[in-house]
Amino acid sequence: MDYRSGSYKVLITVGVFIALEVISIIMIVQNSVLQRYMIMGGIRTSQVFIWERSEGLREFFRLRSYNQALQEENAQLRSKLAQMQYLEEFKEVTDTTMGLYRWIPASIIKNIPNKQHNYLILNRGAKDGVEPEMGVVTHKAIVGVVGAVSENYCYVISFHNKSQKASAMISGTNDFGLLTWDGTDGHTATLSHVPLSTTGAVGDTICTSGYSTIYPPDIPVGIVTDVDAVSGMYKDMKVDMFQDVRSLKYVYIVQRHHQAEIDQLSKTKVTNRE
Amino acid sequence: MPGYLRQIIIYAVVILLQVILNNYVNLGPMIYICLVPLLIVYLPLDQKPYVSLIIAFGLGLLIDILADGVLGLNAGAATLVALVYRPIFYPVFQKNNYSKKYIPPIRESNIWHHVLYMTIILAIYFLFYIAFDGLAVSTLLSSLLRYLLNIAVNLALVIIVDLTLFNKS
Repeated sequence: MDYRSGSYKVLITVGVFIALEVISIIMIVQNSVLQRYMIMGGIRTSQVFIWERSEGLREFFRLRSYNQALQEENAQLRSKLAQMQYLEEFKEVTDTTMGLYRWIPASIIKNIPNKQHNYLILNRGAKDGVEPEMGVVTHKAIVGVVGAVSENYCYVISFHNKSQKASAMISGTNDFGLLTWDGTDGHTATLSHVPLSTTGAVGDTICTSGYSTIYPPDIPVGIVTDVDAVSGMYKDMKVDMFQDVRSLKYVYIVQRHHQAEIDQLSKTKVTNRE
Repeated sequence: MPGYLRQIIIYAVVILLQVILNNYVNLGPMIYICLVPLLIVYLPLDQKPYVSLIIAFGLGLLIDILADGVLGLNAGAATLVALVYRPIFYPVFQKNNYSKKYIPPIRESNIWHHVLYMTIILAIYFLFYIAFDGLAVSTLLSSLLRYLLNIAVNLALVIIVDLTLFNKS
């Protein structure tokens, strides 16, 4: 009871004190231009400080939506870049709507790591134009290949599967080989079947070759850390990958335009040979 | 003469003295003569704190009006002093004065306790006063000099007035 009564007295005293000080300051502000300028300046400075902090906090909570918006914009820019590169390479082609790749931004909603047969589920499906056999990449990693598609989601066979291979080349040379995950950790892969004559060495960058229709060319994926000659015919190179697929959140599904046409053409050629 | 009547008369004399000193004694632009803190420390120690706050605010406001200064400056500073004069009193004047209803007269106690107590009170008073009187338009050094000068001059004045008026039995 005493405690309550003591607290009550303190509250009243503090309340009266604050009220009287506020009245004093209001009187000072109203009766002197100099003091008004000084005090209002102080109040404005405090307001700006609080606004800045609260805006910073708000921005922090908006980061997810900003991230998604940036990813969309990035995808559009990549598509435009692909178009520009295509037009640059094939200037005689008059169809300016053509580009080699379309980039579809996606989020990984499920990622099963640390197994020999890894897979991912992405939040893009048939309604977004996703089809099986499309490549999934980031700006510095091969993520995998779309294996199956539902209306809203797709199943991606991760590059972290022993069965997955990607055509990759040593940057600055025309030498290419097959890049495979070596099944140990997320950062190590092997570039095999590289010609013996290659000038590629430890420290060189490995990027996608673009020789398959799945992955676009020139995506840097890792650095050579070791070179071995195999059976006197090829060289194998250990590659330290730039990104670990297990730690990704956002990726791009890559659709090569005219994929069906290319596939059809390949099949026709095979049939003719038969 | 009843004690409260005597105190009211002394308060009126001190206020009058401050107005006269402010209006007729020119100690330069840096010095502001101020006796209000002395009036506040002589408020009863057993009084309800919010009553002390209101009385101090009223005394400060009265000085603001009579001295024709910036309205609210003395009122705000006096209110701040009224909040702290009681908590500062006990540690400065030590345990044997815990039962006192008023601050003991200088003659009945150690003068250095009074000097220390009034220095702290004046320091708090002028902290508010100088901060709101133009800290933003003066340099920090000149404000600090003004602060220290005012504490020193007013301390001397307050002790003299204290010995003259408040120590008569």
